[in-house]
Amino acid sequence: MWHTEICMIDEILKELEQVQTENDLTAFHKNYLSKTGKLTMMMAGLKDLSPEQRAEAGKRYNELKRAVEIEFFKKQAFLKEQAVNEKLKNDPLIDITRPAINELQGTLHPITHLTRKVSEICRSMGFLIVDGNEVVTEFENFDAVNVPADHPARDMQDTFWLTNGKLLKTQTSALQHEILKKYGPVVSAIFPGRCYRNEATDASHEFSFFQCEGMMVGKDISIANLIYIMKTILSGIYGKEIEVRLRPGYFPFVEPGFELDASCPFCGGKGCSVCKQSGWIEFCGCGMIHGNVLKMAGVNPEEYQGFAFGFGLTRMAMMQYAVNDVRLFNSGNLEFLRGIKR
Amino acid sequence: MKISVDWLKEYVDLKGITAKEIAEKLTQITCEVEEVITLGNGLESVVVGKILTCDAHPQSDHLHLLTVDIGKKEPLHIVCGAPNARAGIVVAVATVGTIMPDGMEIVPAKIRGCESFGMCCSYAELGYKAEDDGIIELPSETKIGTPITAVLPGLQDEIIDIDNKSITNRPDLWGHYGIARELSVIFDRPLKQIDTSIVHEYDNLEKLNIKIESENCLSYGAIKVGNLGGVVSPDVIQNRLYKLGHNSHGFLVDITNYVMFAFGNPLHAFDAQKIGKISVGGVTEGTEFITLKDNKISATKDMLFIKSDGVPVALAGVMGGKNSEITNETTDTVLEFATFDASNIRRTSVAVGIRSDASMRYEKALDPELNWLAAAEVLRLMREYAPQAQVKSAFTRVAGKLAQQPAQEITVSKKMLNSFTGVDFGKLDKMVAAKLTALGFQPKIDAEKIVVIVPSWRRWKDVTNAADVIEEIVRNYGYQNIVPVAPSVSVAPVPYTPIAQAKDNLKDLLAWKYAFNEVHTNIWYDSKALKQLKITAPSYATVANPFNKDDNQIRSTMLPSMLTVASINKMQNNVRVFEIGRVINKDGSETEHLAGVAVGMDYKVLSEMITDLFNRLGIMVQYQLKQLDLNVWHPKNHAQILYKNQVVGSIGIIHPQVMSNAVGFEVNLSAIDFTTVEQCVAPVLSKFPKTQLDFTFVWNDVYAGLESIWSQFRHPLVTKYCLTAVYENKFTLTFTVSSLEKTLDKAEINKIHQEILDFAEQNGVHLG
Repeated sequence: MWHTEICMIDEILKELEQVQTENDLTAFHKNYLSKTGKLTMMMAGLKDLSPEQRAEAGKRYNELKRAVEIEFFKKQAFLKEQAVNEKLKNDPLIDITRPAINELQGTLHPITHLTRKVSEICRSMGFLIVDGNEVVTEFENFDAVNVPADHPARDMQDTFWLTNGKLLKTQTSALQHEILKKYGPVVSAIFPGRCYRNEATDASHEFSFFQCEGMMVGKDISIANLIYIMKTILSGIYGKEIEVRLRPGYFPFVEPGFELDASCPFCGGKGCSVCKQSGWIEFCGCGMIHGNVLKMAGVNPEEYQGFAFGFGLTRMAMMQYAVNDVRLFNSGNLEFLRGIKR
Repeated sequence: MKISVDWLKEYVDLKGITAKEIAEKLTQITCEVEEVITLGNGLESVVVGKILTCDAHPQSDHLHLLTVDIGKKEPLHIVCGAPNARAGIVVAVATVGTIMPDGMEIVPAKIRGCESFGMCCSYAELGYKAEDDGIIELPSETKIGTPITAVLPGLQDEIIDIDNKSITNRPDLWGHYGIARELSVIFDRPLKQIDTSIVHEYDNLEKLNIKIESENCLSYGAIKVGNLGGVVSPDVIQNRLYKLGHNSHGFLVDITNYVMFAFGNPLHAFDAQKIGKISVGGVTEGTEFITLKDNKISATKDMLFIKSDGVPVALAGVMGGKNSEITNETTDTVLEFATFDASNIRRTSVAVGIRSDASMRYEKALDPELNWLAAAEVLRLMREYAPQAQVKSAFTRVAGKLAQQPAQEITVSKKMLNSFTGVDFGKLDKMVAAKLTALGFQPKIDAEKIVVIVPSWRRWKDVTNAADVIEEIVRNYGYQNIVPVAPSVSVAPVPYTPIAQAKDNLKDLLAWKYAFNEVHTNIWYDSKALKQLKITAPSYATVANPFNKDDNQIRSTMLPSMLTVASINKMQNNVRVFEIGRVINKDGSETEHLAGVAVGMDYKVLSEMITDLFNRLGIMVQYQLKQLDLNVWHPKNHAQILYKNQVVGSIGIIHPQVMSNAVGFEVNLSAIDFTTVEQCVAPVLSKFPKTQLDFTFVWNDVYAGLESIWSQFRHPLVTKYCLTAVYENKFTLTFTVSSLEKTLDKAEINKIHQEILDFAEQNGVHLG
């Protein structure tokens, strides 16, 4: 009997070969390989054999069962793959060209993008990045940076004065004094920030705008250093070699003072609409920090000297993003802000 | 300020130098040139002609038919409407092809049936001067056929327009002579020296009575002249003024303007009959003064006046008075050549709201010595162009104490010069000496130092210290010649300040994870928007001079700004906006806030977001239910945000009357200490199995109460707990239990189970 059963193996395998579906396979498993399956039950028949026969038959039995099991697993894997492939055939083709509908899109303000760029470059060159108040004293905004009492900038029409005598800072230079006192006398720092001017608004004027001030003070910081640093910062910001040139300029807090022109980063100096075909853009005011500014912050101008510069981040953003109306930056207009992604 | 190149040539030889070169060099070395305007271009084809015949036009009552000899074989036929056209006069004829200054091209034309081949020009049509009472009548001996440009020098000129802002610090540049001096230095050409000896030719005449009562008057000079009434200015003066944008008002007024544009010193003319003893000083506060342009001024104690026998007759440096102005009846004139304190003039000018050519110059701190140059020029012009004029007094000039101070000497060490500029001037003594000498600084240079004497025209608020002298040297050396040098500073890492880092992280998370849009708003409330949104928000600082009178309240909370932005974006989907900005608090302090508003966001999602934002920075925040005053909040659903048990912000649903379906938050970042964030340590993983124990507690208050109890629970084998389910007032907390050393057996776990229950009972928390 045992022998006949063993002879059945070929037929079992043949039956397995005929299996086409997972259901049939499950039935097959139940029929032969489960605990009560025929193949498993055959094991019971072994006990009737003599010990010698039993060892021989047991070995044989295990080989055969293993063979069935291997075929079973192969079949199982085959059917599974077949089923997946069948399913894939029926999967719909997804229109990859169709945009997601109503997807949320966060953005940072363009000024944030530029401030980060400038800060990153300046930090890599050893400049501290300092932040400061928007409401400052008249002393900080004017006296401390050597703006004389009768300078036009102090007039009502340019400055937003508060009833408590303070004012909304009109220039980031208002932080020079505090920074020199806090970090000086040897200090390199930039201080981007928001400024306010009381003037009629139009496409190129806005009450509030962002500037970035910078300064470097040490024992022998020179005009040659100023040119080097500005050239390096600008080349860093625009990711290409930028030429700079100085012209005489007047700002009360520096002596000598300069206007700094940069070779136009948008056309490489060939002339375009941004640089009004001149190949140069007026980039910033700068100069050697006035001795009075140092003195007032407790820095001895006989011993220390340095330069300061200030440029308009908002103006830079206008050029960078080709924005022709400065008022858009503070408009809160999401249609505009969402369009600026980097 | 407009500068005529033709006029400059009177003071400095500019042969071979183009206006473009002048503009370029000035921009590089001195000041900013905005524009170069070419005048009289293409007028070479306007030639001198003589009217041979002049007949009436058959079809017109005012046109003439002329034949004009312009030196060609055939005379020209020209139709002309000028009333003074007549045979015999010598005129300027624009021939066919000429493009006139106004852009009109002269072409052969038929005017009411008669052919015309040119145009007889007036001075105004050629752009020479404003006067326009007919065609030009040239002296009869003028050679026919000569180009008009050779007959009227000054017709062709170039005007250099200088940006006034770029010379605010250069009182010496407010006239042609000052610019000529710069050019003489730049191009190394000699500058004409002005001979002032003419003013002393009248020294034996009677002196005027002048007294300076205030230090705000640096110097006061005056001279009385007569017989100038009705004198017309010569063409050269009219032309020069016209090119700078001024019409002629008769010789007397013209020369005051002319001399101001030449040397920068403003002049004033009084009717001598109305001038007695002159004194310069203040008047009683409240004294009424009427300017010659009828501005009514109530004097303040700071204002400086020119007084005649004690009565104010001019607001010094700003404008003359009605009571002493020149009229048609004026016979004699007192001309003023004075210098006043710059700050005083500026303050007065701002206070009375009058900004004149004079005040604009005086507020730059003019050189008192200019009085001499100006007086000499006036006398020279009178002698040349108005010989009938009579000088009736000595040029009387009084100098105040300040103007009598000796010239300042400044020493610049060569070491400082080199260190300041980063340029080695060691071998450049000759260049330095030449430039400083030409600028009038009388330099003495030795091995260590440069000593200069500041010339009078640079000493007032201009060159006062070594850095100023260095500027003179370097700008003339040429900024473009400075080689960039890297600074020699110590290399040390620059810290990224924790607050800056925190702000960057918050912005990134909000934008890139939570899809918020960063916006910028002003520091004041938008009054109109607040009204529309029905928001009342407190303000503790007020703008004294707001641009819009109602937008004067500085914000103490940023939520109204965010709601304003959200409201103007109603047409956009998924409005989620935030800003990191500043507010002014009740105690006057300024703090930095993060605020945002999101439309269509679930309140719970928002609170999870805030928790997440700060968790990532190592900051734990909690919420506490509390009724807040700000009327933007839903009456119930809002809360305070706590950090270390201090209130740092608020969060909640926006009141539907303000905005429907919106949530908002605001956090005072200045109140959070980002510097002492605990070190982030990796979790210790156990090799042994974990067990989770669930407890469902009944709790009839907000979750924060339950949380505050369980946050106190400590057990060495309970690694964490969290809220895993909520049903009505039943809160399920799941506690994770594990040991690093072994697998916990049933008895041990049961013990922990009991300990948790005991802790709950002790704190009045019961199983549900």
